[in-house]
Amino acid sequence: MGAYVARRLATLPLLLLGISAVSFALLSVAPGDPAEIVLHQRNPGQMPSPAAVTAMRAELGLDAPLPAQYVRWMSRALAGDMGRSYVTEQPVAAQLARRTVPTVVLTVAALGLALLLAVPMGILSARRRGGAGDAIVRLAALVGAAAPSYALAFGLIILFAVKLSWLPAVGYGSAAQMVLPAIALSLAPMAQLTRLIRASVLDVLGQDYIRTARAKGLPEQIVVMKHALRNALLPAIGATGVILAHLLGGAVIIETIFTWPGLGQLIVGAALTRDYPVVQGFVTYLAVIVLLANLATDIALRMADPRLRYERGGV
Amino acid sequence: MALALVAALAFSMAVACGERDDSPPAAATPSPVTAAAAAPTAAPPTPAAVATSAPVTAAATTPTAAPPTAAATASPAPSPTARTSEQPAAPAADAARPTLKAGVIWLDSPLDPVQGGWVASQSGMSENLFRLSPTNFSPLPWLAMEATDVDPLTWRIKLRSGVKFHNGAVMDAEAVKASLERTIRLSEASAEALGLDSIAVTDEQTITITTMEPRPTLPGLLAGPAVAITDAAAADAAGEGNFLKAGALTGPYIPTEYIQKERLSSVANDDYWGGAPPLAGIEHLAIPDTNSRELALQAGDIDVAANISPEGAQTIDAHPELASRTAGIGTAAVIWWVNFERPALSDPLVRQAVSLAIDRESIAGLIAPAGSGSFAELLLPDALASCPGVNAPGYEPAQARDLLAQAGYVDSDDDGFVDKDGEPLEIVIGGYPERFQLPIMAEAAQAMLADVGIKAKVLITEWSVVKEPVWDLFGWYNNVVEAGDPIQNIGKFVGVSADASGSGANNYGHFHSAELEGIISSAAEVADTQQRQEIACRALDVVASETALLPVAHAYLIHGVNERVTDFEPHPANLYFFDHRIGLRA
Repeated sequence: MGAYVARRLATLPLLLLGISAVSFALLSVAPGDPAEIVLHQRNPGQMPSPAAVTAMRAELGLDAPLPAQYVRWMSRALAGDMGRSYVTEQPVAAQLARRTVPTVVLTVAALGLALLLAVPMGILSARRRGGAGDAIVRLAALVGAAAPSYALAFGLIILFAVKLSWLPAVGYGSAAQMVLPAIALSLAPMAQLTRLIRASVLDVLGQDYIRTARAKGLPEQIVVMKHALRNALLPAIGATGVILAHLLGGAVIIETIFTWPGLGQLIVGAALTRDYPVVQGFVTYLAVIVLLANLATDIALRMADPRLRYERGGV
Repeated sequence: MALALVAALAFSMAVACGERDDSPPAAATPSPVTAAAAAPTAAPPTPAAVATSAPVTAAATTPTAAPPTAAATASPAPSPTARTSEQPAAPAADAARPTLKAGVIWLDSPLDPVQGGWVASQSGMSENLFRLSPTNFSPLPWLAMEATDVDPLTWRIKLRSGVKFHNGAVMDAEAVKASLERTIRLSEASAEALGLDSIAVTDEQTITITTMEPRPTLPGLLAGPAVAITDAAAADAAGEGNFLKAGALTGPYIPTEYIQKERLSSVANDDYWGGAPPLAGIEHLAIPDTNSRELALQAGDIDVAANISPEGAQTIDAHPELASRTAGIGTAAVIWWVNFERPALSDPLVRQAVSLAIDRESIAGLIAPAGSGSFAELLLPDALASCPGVNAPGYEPAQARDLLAQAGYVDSDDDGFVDKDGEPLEIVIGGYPERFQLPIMAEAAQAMLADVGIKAKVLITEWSVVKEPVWDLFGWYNNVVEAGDPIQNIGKFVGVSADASGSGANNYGHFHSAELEGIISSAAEVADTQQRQEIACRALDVVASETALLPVAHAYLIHGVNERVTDFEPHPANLYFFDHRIGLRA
């Protein structure tokens, strides 16, 4: 396992280099001049003069050739300096770090909630296939997968914050403020995982070894929990890794509606204002997150599935 | 994995709670700023005494109306020390005073006024020598007591006494001189707008300003948020990024923590020249989504929701404990620029046809509350300049089709859209998404133009695309009462600054008119308000006849408030949300 992890980690720098170079090039050809945007930000309602734009471009280092800009950015990034935001003039690394905490908190809460409900619901639905319980779970999963997150978010606010006054509508900083965004964010993954686990459990319950276990006279609970579940959860582990990476990239709509100061809000604002350093820093961050989440998923799968460990002579 | 995530969930809850606990209450933050705030001094003057003063000048910008809460008085406000016996004692302790929570759209601009100044002005932290009247936008004395135009190039400004910066330093003539010099040094736009040649200290409470060109509207220009008065020495000494710690502003609220785009905390300035605020402080939360802002007010998370929508105002008014408030004058114009450098609208007949094909009154009904000003006012609100003889074109689709035919555009291939020499007439309608009005306008206009045979594409993109030659009409939402001067606000849209120098304007449509430049330049030395309004109306007539741009509506600023909020007087300009009078009942 150690050698496998080391091999995967060794490929990370090359992948990050490629991703950062491509994103840097793409940002540079996007419409809009960051120098003008910065000047407009500082003097709303005023058209900046050409001289001011030229000076600002020089101040931001945008007058250098693109490869030179990239090399300078990369050399600083390697030293931990990802530059400063054009808009807020704050260090990008500090902004990303501060925004990462709320995003991680929300992601963990939402994904935890999704798994807490999806696993038992998926198993229940599979075991009661065709029954009332199955129908209810499938309908709930369908609604969860189809409901737009913004509609659900506003519905939750109206019910629990405005009508019942049980929870705050917006903000960040207390456990109570986390409840509604976590529920809103968990619904889609919960629906996805429930359907996946149901299908997977149904598939496993039809396997020969399950029939053998039942033939041995094992109680159904032991058959399901001990023999079926481990195999049935393999697809869910893979899907959870993908969902985790997606959520850690920031949930733009949920964060905006609940005024949750996570990465989603940061990146949308940065993209709209052509705040190149922040966008570039975020892309690099996201690349790291996706690569690490994939690695964690692969490790989890190998731990859960011995067959994967024995491929290529084992790990 | 599920168990691990459950454990992580519990941990995350602890983290979330812990983070709250790690942040001490703003009022307890040990900093020079809070130290100044926590040191109450002699009781301050009453709002009635300080809100009025001598007129700006006898000849120029005499205010025609006092602020709603002001009581007229001819005498300058005495110093706080002199007023001790007249005033009630300042509130005993912050524990006894509530903290107001406000939800605003943006908390974008840095607190240092030279970097924009909007947030500091809106939040009651910064103050200028003058502020705009809520009724006619003329400049009213604020940190100044009066301004006199000695000659066309010279202004003498007498300053209010008893004003202190948040760090305790006294605001005197030397401090104001240093503040204005710092503004000019660090803000190119302000330097250009003010056109100052020199600033001299006449006496401890008087400065004399000399301008390079006549600036009859100088007091109005000094009301801009970037020109707020700061303790320049303290701000410079604090260094970049540390403006908050400098205590360099003078307003009734002292900033204690500012996380741009997230939140802004403040405590009351008990040493405020206008009186100690009844609040312990104000917590601002950036809630960019309008629906969320309105729901947060309904849920009781905030006490004031700034800039709510017309639909949201109806819901809030139906709530027993909430109400919407507006000053009742639309000060932000929603317009389309017309691009004169693209071929589609270079023909005046086609421009007129486009103008006549768009039912702007219907669109105004979609984007602004009923009665909130309409396209008929053209560009400026009546409060700034009433021009009864100048009207925006009406909705005349039949006439639009005739004009297109006169311009040579006919539907030769029966596809429903006109063409000329085989080329279809196609225009691009641009806008940016942050102002909800602009996408609505573009889509409505697209359908209306199709009705007369003009094919239109909608391009909702970022603001900066306005500088690129990819659109024929581009929506814009902007304040049109800047400096309280109608001519400046026409000029900034059509490429002519108030002194007709042609710079410093937002002429994104590249409209040029010698006639218009002549009219505006004739105002260069005109100080009389009425004469300036007449000149503005002549300029507007040219704008209308040339279809230089298409105004759509004047959007009101509407705020939602909890009824426990007291003395909240909405100002029609987007510059001032909170002052030292606003309170909150228990």
